This record gives sequence, C-alpha cells and structure tokens, in this order.
Amino acid sequence: MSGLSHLPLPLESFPVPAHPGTLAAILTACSLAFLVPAALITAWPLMTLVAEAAGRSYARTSLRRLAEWMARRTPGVAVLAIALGLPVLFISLVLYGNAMFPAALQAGVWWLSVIPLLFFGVGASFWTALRRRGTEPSTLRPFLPDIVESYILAFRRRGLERPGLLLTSLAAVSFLFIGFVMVAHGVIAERPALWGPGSPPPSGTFLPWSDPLLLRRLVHFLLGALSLGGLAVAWHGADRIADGETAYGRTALRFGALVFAVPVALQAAAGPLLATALPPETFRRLGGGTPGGGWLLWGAASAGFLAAVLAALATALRDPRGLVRTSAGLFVIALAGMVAARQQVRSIRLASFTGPAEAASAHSIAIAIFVVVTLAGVAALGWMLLVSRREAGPGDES
Amino acid sequence: MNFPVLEVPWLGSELLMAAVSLVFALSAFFAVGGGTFQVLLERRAQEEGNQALLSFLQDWSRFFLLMTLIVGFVSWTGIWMGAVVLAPSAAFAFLKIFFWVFAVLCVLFVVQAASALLYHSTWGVVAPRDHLAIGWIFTGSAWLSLFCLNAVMTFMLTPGGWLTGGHLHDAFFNPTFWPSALMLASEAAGVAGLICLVAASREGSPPLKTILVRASAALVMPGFVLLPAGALWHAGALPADLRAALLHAGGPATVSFLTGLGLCVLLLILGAAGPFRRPRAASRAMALLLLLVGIGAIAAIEGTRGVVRSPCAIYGYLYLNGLDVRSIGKLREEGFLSRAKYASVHSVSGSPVRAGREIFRLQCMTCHSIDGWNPISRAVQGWDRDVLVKQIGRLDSLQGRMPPFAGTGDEKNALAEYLLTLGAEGTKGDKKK
Repeated sequence: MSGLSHLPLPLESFPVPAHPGTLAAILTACSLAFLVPAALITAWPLMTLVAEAAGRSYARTSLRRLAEWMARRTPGVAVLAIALGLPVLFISLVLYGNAMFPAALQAGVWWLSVIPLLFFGVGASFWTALRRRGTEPSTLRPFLPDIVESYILAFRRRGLERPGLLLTSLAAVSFLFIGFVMVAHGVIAERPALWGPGSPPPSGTFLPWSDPLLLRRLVHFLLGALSLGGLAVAWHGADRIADGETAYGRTALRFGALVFAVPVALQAAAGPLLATALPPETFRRLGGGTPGGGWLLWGAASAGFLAAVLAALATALRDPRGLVRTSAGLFVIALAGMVAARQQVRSIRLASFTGPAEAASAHSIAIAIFVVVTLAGVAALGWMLLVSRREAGPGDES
Repeated sequence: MNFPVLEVPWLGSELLMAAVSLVFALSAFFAVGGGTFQVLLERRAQEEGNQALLSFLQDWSRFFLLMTLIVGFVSWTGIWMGAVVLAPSAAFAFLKIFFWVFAVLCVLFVVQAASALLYHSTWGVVAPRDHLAIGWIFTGSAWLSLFCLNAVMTFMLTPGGWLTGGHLHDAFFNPTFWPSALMLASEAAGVAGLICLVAASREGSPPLKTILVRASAALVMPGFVLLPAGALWHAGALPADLRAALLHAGGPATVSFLTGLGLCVLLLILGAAGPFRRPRAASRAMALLLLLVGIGAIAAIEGTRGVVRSPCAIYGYLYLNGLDVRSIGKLREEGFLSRAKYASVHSVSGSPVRAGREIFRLQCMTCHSIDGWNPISRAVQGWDRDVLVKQIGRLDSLQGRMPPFAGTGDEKNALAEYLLTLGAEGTKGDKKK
C-alpha cells in the first residue's frame, strides 16, 4: 500500500462525473447484475458438453435434453453478459482509469484477443442454439471421439454438418479464455509495480504468472461460475417437476444441485487461498480492519454454504421448488457479499488512483434523463417478459 | 503522456480501430433501419393478412437477430476494448465527458438485446399486436441509441461550446449534431434497404419479391438522396478551418468526400435503372453490387470525418497521441520528458538517443511503427540531421495530419538523433538488398 501513495497522479486528471462513493455503489450493483450472466456463459457451455457426453455415454435422453435446454439459452445469456458487462467496464475505467488503462496495455494483445473471442463465443453459441435440433447425431458415442469426429467431418466436408459439440466446445473455450483475460487484467491492475511509472514499456503479451493471485482468483471465479450455472439448472429442474415433468425435472435438479454444491464445497479451500494471497495490508483491512469488512466475507461465505446444503436437500423432496428458491435467495446474498468484498479490495488497493470528484449537479439533467430512461427500460422489459410468459403458458419454454 | 503506448506493429492502431468501427457502424445502421423496416412490413402484412410476407419476416428476424446481436453488440464491445489499449487518453476523456450518455446507452442496449431476442422467439407465440409492440420497442431504443452515438461522434469533430464552457449540453448538441443526425438516419435507411434488396433478390415468389424490392426502394432512394444533402449540410456547419481542410483541392478529405457523393449518385442511377424499375428481374449480382457501392459511399463520406479531424481525437482539445492541444506551448517551454508519466528517462542529458527513443514511443508510436505499419524508418530514410530537426519542428504542417512536436529544442534534437539511427539502419538494409 505504501507504494501506491508515492506514485503521482496524471498531470491532467479529469474529474469523475459523480461522487466516487456513488459511482462505487453503482459499480457494485452493476457488477452483481453482470456476474450472473457472466457466470452462466462461462459455466453453461462446459455443463452442456458434460451433460451431452453423459447423455450419450449412458443413453440418458433427459440429460441430452438438458444439454439442449442450456445450449438454447446460452446466446441470450451471452448477449445479456455483454450488455451488462459494458457498464461495469465503463464505471471501472472512470473510477480507476489511471490503473485500469495501463494494466490493460501491459496485457494488450490478450486484451485485444477478447474481440475475436467474443465473435467466436457468441457466434458459436447462437449457431449451436439455432441449428441444434436438426444437426445432432442420433448415434450414441463416447464423448471425446465425438468431438474429434466433429472436427474431422467439418474439415473434410468443408462445412459444419454436425456442429453441436464442435461449436459448444468453441464457445466454452472462448468464454473461458475471456474470463482468464479479465481475471489477469484485474490482477495486473492491482499491482502498480507492474504498470506504474518506471515499469518497462508494455509488451502487450504480459501475464502475471508469478503472482499467486492469478490462478487462485481464476479458480475462485470458475468455481463461482459453475455454482451459479448449477443453481440455475437446479431451479429449472424444480420448475419442471412442479409442472409434472418428473423424470426430466429430477435429472435437471440432481445435475444442477451437484454442479452447484461441489464447487461451493471446493470454495472452502479456494476462498481462503485467494484471501491469503492478497497483500497483508489489504487482507488485514478486509478481514476486520475496516468496519464491516469481516462480517461481509464471513456472512457471504456462510450464506453460500447454506445455499448449497439446501439445494442438496431439495433433491430428496417431492416438491423442491420452495427449497431451491430459498437456496437461490441465499446464494444471491452470498454473491452480493462477494461482489462488495471484491469492490472493497479494489478500492483499498487503488484508492490513490481515483480521480477528483466533480460536482454531480453539473450532470443533474443527464442523471435525470438516465433515471427516466432506466425506468422506462425496466417497464418495457417487464412488459415484454410478462406478455411472452403469459402467452407462452407455463409448459412452453420458447 | 498519461498512459503508456502499445505498439501494434503489423496492423496499426488507426486501421484496427477504423475496421472495428466500420463493422459496428454498418451493423448499427442495419439495426436502426432494418428494425424500422421489419416492423413496418409486419404491420402491413398483418393488415393485409399476407402470410408469405409474414413468413419472410420471420426468417428475416433470425438474420436480423444475428446481425444486431452478434455483429453489432460484439463490435460495440470491440470498439471499447480496442480504445482502452489503442487510444486510452481519448477513451478516458470520452467516458468522463459522456459518462451519463453512455449510461443511457447501456440501458438502451439491454432493452434492444431483450427485445430482439423476444421479437425473434415469439413469432406466433404472442398476439400479433403484442409482437408488433415488441418490434417497436426495439426500433425505438435503436433510434435513441443512434441519437446518443451521433452526439459522441460529432463531438469528436466539433466540440463547439464545450471547449470553453465544459457543459455536457454543449458537447451533446454540438454544431454538427443535427446535420450528422440526418446523415446517420439516411445511412440507416440506405443500409437496411440494400440488405433487404439482397434478401429480396433471392426470393422465388414474384409477388413477394415485388413487395420486398419496392420496400427496399422506399428506403434506399430517399436514404441516398438525403445522405449527400446531409453531408453538404454537415460540411457547411463545420468551423471555417475544418471546412477548408475538407474542401482543400486534391486533399484526402476532399477526394474521400467527392468519392462518397459520386458513389451515392451512381447508386441512385443503378437502382433506378435496374431493380427498382423492374422489381421481378432484380438479380442477386445487381443487389450485391448496389450493396457494395452503398457501403463504399458511406465509408467514403464517414471517412472524411476522421481525415478532417486528424490529428485530433477531439478537435481543439486532444491529439491522437494523447497530448492536450493546449499544453503544447507549455511542453515546449518546460520540456516533455520531465512531465511524461510513463517515460523511462526524464531528461535528454546522458543518452540523447535513448531520450529520443522515449519521445518517439510516447509521441509518435500511436500512429507510426518502426518498420511495420506506417513505418517511420522508411519515412526518414536518407534524411540527415538538419532535415530531421527542421521537419520535426514543423510536423503539424506536414500534410496537416500530424500533431505538433511537443518538447524543447534539446528534446527535438534527441528525437532527431534517434530517428537518424533508424534512417541509417533502413539505408543499410536497402543497400544489402
């Protein structure tokens, strides 16, 4: 921490367009909203591959149907992740631009690689979803050979006749790598020695492999993503059971609860490992040195573990909906706590890099327009969802 | 000078940003024009009970979804991901000036994403009136997005009263806002109409083909008539010095501008004489040719904005290399290296070549590579020290596309020393060949 205060601010620092505390609060809210689709697009392509593989290997049509359900929802979730991710990027850049920009430059090539990867990932997930029904092979095969065969067929026939696994794996790899780049950027941004004045000119290819935070934060993120992906599937399964589709619903519920509970249990090791890799000063302040720092982390972790236990218990119930929803509510509390803790770490480590605040009144008309547009947008979204659900009926998933 | 510089040796940051921006612009035009097109045609099809047209529109909505959500959303993200590393100073400035405008845009994009997905997935599921309403929600939010983006685009060229007052209102409704809004609306109609024409040319049913080609003509013809009108209005609204740059005989902006206007005329003639006169005979080849001509016209006219604005990212405020326009005089007096946050040396004394290299990296590398894209080694080949020093001193008058040198006389000499080593290396290389 002491190193941060010695680094000079830019000569021409711009004022930020609202009080930094207000922006930080908006950033926390946006990060929570973004985290859900971001976790789902990281987890669902992987879960789709596993469900498809298990479905083929053990001749379980309900698992393959679940794979299709996830694949058909991944594009929408991907678009939502992009739409909600940009506000997070914007606010982070405005608040911590003096750190975020140079950090991105250090890993500039990887950062730029996100553009084609997004094209591949979003494109592949759309293609999978739109073509899936008519292109799946009907024979049951072991998993890995089928992927290899998909590639060979695609190469030989110069087309994607059987694109399901090929495209899903492409989407999975793309989204995983994007997650990795974002985690790496976050790690670099919080180490001014890597990008601050006096650091070597950016090569663009730098990745902080020697920083213990990198892999630990990546594992923490992946486990969190899988948990959320599993919880969403468990919720879907519980709904299907309640609608009378017992066999399929049970499969989805068990699969989802398993993918939810195991990563949450693994977080018991990954979380402390991540926390102890933080600089001692940050860890001390996060773990109780600041008011609310300690209970935030412990409360969030406890809510997460309780949520996993409830989801596991729900698999044994005839009507698991209530318990799964309670579990989801608890997990949202856990996520909110983790996001707030993450924001706290960032604000502790980058406090010296926040620009001066401009009087918010200078932007009061723009803020008022933003509030009006947001309310109108929420109303429009609510109406559209209401209309589509009402007309579609409870059993229709379109 | 507030951020490090990333060298993009083989592509060039300008070209990379221009390519991503063009892709985004075309998809944004298509989202706005295509969205309007599809809801207007759907309303007509519902009123006439035309099932063939409804069926076409259902297929079209899938293509529309892919274009807007994959190409549009990803390229919009790409612009920002690119700007963060290729033009950090400009990106930082834009975000702070237009923060709440971007916040509004983010809300509008969420609404667009949801409505595009629901519009595609609820064909035949929801009541026709509600389906149409979902389409209108998309269209309305797309038009509002274009309105906001227009403000940001035009601000780069004509920040107007913002330069003195610093008010967001002046930045938003800047001097070229309205002419540019007309241009963008024309381009949106034109692009959507031309893509519709390509789709129509593949249609087998003659009555449906006629309807689609006429709908395309209703977008293309007014679009490419209003585009030159908007471009001329835009040119007239420019400050005198920028207008002079635009109308400088033989200059790149003039060539680009006139090419764009010429292509608009060509497109109108080809369209009126070909597919729009005989809709049933509209061929795919002609439709694709018109699409290419239309994209060429838009790229040429839009390209003039960048050429005229060059070497500024925000005219009168920020140069492309991240230097504040108003700071040049001070930097010439007090020195650049001593104030450059990311310089590895802060003075010329010691090693002038190393100091020159740092100045090159921080002031020139945004646009020049050493021997890749826009190579400086080739530009200075054969120049001696005196020529270099003289040229560095008048960079801003060299084709009018470079920022002035910002530094003391010693720093100018140091840069010349460094460039001399590159020129010499380049000459050696040539001799070897």
